[in-house]
Amino acid sequence: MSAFRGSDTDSRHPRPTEAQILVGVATTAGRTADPLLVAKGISKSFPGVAALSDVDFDLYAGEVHALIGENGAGKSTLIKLLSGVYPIDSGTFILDGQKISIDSVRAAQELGVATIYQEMNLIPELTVAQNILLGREPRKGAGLLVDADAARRTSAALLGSLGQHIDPDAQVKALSVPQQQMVEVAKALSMAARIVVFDEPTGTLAEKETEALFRTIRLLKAKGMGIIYISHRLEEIKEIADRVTVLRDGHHIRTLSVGEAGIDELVKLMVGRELKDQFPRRRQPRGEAVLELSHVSLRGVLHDVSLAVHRGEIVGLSGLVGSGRTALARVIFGVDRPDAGEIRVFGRPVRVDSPLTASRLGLAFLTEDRKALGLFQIRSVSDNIILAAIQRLFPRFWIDAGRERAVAQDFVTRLRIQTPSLGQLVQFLSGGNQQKVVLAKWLATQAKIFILDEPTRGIDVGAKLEIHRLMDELVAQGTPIVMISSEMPEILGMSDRIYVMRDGRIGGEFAHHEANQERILTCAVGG
Amino acid sequence: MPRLLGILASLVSGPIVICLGMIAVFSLLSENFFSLSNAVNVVRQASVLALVAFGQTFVILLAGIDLSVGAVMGLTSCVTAALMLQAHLAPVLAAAVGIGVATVCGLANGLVHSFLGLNPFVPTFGMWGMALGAALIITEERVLTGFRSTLRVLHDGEFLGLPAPLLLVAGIFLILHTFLKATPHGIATYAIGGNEGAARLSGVRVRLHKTLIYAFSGFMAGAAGVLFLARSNAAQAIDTIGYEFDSIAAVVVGGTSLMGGKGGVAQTLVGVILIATLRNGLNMVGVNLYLQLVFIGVVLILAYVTENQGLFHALRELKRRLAGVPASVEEA
Repeated sequence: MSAFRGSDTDSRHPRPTEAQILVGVATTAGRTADPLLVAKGISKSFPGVAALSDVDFDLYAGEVHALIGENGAGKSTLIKLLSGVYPIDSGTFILDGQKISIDSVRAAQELGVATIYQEMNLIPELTVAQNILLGREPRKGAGLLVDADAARRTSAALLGSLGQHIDPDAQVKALSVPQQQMVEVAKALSMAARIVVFDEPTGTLAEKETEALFRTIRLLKAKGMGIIYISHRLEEIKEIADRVTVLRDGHHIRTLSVGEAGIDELVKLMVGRELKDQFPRRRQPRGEAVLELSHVSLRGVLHDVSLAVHRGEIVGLSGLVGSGRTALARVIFGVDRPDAGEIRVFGRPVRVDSPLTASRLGLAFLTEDRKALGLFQIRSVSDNIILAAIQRLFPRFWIDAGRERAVAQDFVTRLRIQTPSLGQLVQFLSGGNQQKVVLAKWLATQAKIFILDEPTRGIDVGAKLEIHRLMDELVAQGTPIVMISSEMPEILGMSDRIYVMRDGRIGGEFAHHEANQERILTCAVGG
Repeated sequence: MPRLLGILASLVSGPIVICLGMIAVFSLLSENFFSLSNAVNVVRQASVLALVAFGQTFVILLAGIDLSVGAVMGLTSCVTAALMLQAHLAPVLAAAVGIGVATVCGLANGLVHSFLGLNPFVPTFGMWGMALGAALIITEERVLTGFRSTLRVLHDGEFLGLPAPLLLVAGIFLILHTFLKATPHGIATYAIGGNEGAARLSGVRVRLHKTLIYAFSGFMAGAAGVLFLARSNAAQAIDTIGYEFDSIAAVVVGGTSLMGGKGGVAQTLVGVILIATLRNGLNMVGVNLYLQLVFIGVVLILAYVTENQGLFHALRELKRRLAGVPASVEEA
């Protein structure tokens, strides 16, 4: 319960009064001599992964400090440690020169750390005022009742100080996304936050709304708060941040002032490693177009997407998380229906209105989350292989066990699936072999075009190579592949052509010989 | 004043319309239905269900479920009766102990659910079996009767010309309604049900809160058990089995979402009145007992659909589905 486990457990941060909230907390505007927050040697591991190793970070009052890095670099972990979601393994946080221990979300709040997460953390059914003061409601009636009038006044005043005129009695679900974000900022203010963390705040905002957000951030800065700003969009960071820290693979790479950092240099720092040619690709002559999208749009998600996939090629879909890669795959596979545009399969315009239609057209979609969506964990290997093809293999009512075994065995041999028996439950296979079972399942349906979403995520290096070989074989046999991947080496090594997505659009297209990581990443972040 | 109008408007929901419709139909079909004495009758019949459904409302607001309440009610009435009969405890004291036992049952549900992270179906269904078994052991499978009838006043009594159970339910309703709408804990209940992760990140003590809500549901089941004992003046372990489903039905039909975060005891009150009126009306009209079950099933589904989607929306949706999704393109 105690926010401080250190020396002084006094009440230096009591519940703020209404007046205190309104004037803002810190009295010093602009940079002061000593940092507001210092993080020293922070490490955190999750089972099997070192998410952060010995990371240093500091933040001054009145400063916007950006945190950047590729997916999985450790930005979110650092933020979650700072906001008390996870405990740290080792290292120290120092606030105002005092060593602090952040052992719960509440403790972080009491210390003045407020985090505005990418996925909004408001309760849609509650009102604006109830959300802003959730868990810290003003009381009346001997502390038993919520003082709704005071809550309303406080909320309106907080929102007003941000230049917002949002009805405190409105339900949050009735607000627009930028309005909800302002409610989150008001909530941070109401906690008398001294440090406000923005985790990819502009991911869902239009340009105008981003400008409004930046005005708000400058306002917070002027009140002397320290802002930690996470974003993939480097041009935004040039605009709003004072300093920028680059993380890569859980390590602190460099902290530099935004003035001295060019976008090219930041990209280099983020990517870092050298890529070797470790991918088994035999280039095929490009055949006819088998899957074509023209001007496909899905409101708010995809905008005017046109692309083509040809026989004999692997098409890589690159881009940041949330750039619309998976959304595009879902549209192609009929999970979501596009609002506009045309899809052609084998040259014929089609209307893919359900996954069933898509699979009848010969499409296969291997989802990113194969555990939840791709496999029946508690069924056997052979059951999983034949399941999607049951109608094709057994057009009459009953299932011929001998035929089932023969079909399954054939795939197990061809794909070199390592399993003690056909009856082994899929949940006991390794990740790589599970992925092969999913591939076999779709091959059994005689799918003709494969969409693979993160096909080797969470798979060890050896099995990765196997999956890559299979992909190469598939393509050699005339089955084209669309591959979504967040791993730059995989994209560069496996693809014949690469589309880079950004904000639901195709931001660029590269042939494999003209692609390199800087170009792709620059294209993905919009530099 | 506009707020009052808003409240009134929000009350004119599907279940209320159905309730009024039923009252009209039953009044036409039976001359005894639309009378003060029958209204008092309905209120008395509804009071037990109201208490247990209030507790269930809190649990369902958390997106949880409490399947143990029927058995816990039985255990409470059996414990209370046995204490009066065998330990010659004063009725009020015996009832307090009975409600205490029920609260402990609910607390156990909450602890197992919140701290072991089990789906609430599991601990509460387990508790259903344990409470039923315990009640059967205590009563040796007999009906306990012949104890002092002091508690009857809870059900049969009158105060200022109003039936005691009405006053009891009304009082408890006002307290709970205020609790949900005007206290930090009430807001936290909606917050947890609406978005548990967000509530946790806002600093709400989610596990503690959930545990206490389940304990409260046990407490209310206990209170309902005592009232049930006061009505029947006899205790039997299996008499109250079925209240778990009646209470869930009352909550859901009233308009509290099974997904949590939406609804309240006012909605539940409407659901309770709907179910009680339906039962009473069907009886008065003389519908065969088994056919009553069919009717009740149909009305419950209808009330749920109109509450959650609006009748016209539901019909439009049905029409759209029947029209069929456009046929897919042939295989390439």
